[in-house]
Amino acid sequence: MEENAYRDWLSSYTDANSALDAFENQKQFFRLNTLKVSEDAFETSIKCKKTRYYDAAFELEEDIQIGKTWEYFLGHIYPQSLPSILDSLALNPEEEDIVLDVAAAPGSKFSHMAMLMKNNGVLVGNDYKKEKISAIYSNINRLNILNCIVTMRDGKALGWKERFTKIMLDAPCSALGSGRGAAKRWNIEHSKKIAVTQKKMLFSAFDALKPGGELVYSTCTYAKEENEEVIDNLLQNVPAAKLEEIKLDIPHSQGLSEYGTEFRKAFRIYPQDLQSEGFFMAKISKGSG
Amino acid sequence: MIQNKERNFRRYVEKHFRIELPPEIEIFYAKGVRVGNRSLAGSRINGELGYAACDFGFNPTNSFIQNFGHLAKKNIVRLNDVEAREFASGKNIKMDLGKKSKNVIVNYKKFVLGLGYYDHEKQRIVNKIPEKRRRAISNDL
Repeated sequence: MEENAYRDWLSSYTDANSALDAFENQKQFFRLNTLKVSEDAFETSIKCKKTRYYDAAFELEEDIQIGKTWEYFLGHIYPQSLPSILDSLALNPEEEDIVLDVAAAPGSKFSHMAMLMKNNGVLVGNDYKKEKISAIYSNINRLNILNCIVTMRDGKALGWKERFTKIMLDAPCSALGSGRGAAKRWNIEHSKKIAVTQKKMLFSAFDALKPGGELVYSTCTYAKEENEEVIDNLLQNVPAAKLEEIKLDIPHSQGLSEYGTEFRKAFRIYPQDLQSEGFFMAKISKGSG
Repeated sequence: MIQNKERNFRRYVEKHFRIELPPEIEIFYAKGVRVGNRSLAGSRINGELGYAACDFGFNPTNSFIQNFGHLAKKNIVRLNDVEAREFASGKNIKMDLGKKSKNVIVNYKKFVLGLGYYDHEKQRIVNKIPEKRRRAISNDL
């Protein structure tokens, strides 16, 4: 989409100038991997500071290639955008949970969830292509993830029925909030096309969720067609599905209430909110129906 | 025998490195010797459990050593700053450790860098870090 047209379109969601400016000047973040080093024992020569939102999330204060540091080599840290780090906190997997990450590659949220579960419980990392599985394994090995099972299933037809207590569905999306140059290649038809896949993935993931379980649906894009509309499609068709509050104290905008007031529970995070990528997250529970 | 391979691997790491794994850690055979948390037992989900612990023979994987090498009490080699950077970048390290070739755990300061194989004929530690994991390190530790 042409730059001015994109700016106009984005203005229907947020202050487009602030969003685009913050998008171009994003800060770099990394997450501590407490599976290999505790917060107390973490020593580093990297110039960084803890974020105010989460003790294991650090903001870089120098321009370095994080992949070339000792801390990365040793598996002590994982470079990750701040909203992506916070996404796993929204799901809040615990030690006794049986968790599914539907689209786990390359393993950012997946490895963070293993950390939150302290390598206990069961964490299933799924993706649908060999190359993606290989990327997950590279992180499993480096970060010492021991509570994992890796599967290769089509996210649109997972084939599991009520097996998991918590599910992360960070859906493939148009990446307007994270991809440099994504806006140039994008148009609304693109979003509508991806949404077909996203809706199928959400239905399939929700099938795999146990009654009483919780699912986080997220994307790194702004288009409502890929966010609220995908969730609305589930809520309209599955009475057991219900939007839940996200218990995170972070700057954000509410989800779009044009789909219903309950959508205010969803988080729209624009680049200016956290000086990081744009993100959408919503938490859905499964009642007895 | 395949059914004993995981048991033999555990014996090897216990004897050769004197690594005692924590009770919650399981070594099991599933398309190779793998390591994972005991919580995986009985999960009844078909997939690859944990990660590979053993390469060919009883040789541990570099990942197994990077993650459990800190528990070792034997066959540990400590490198200086220059050697550690060379090892992380994938180079072999010249060193005389005696007349017997063997697997060694390569440490730098209090950290495990990975697996090496001491080749007594060439008097060097052969680097066993997989190519994709090798890095030209740019900072200090």
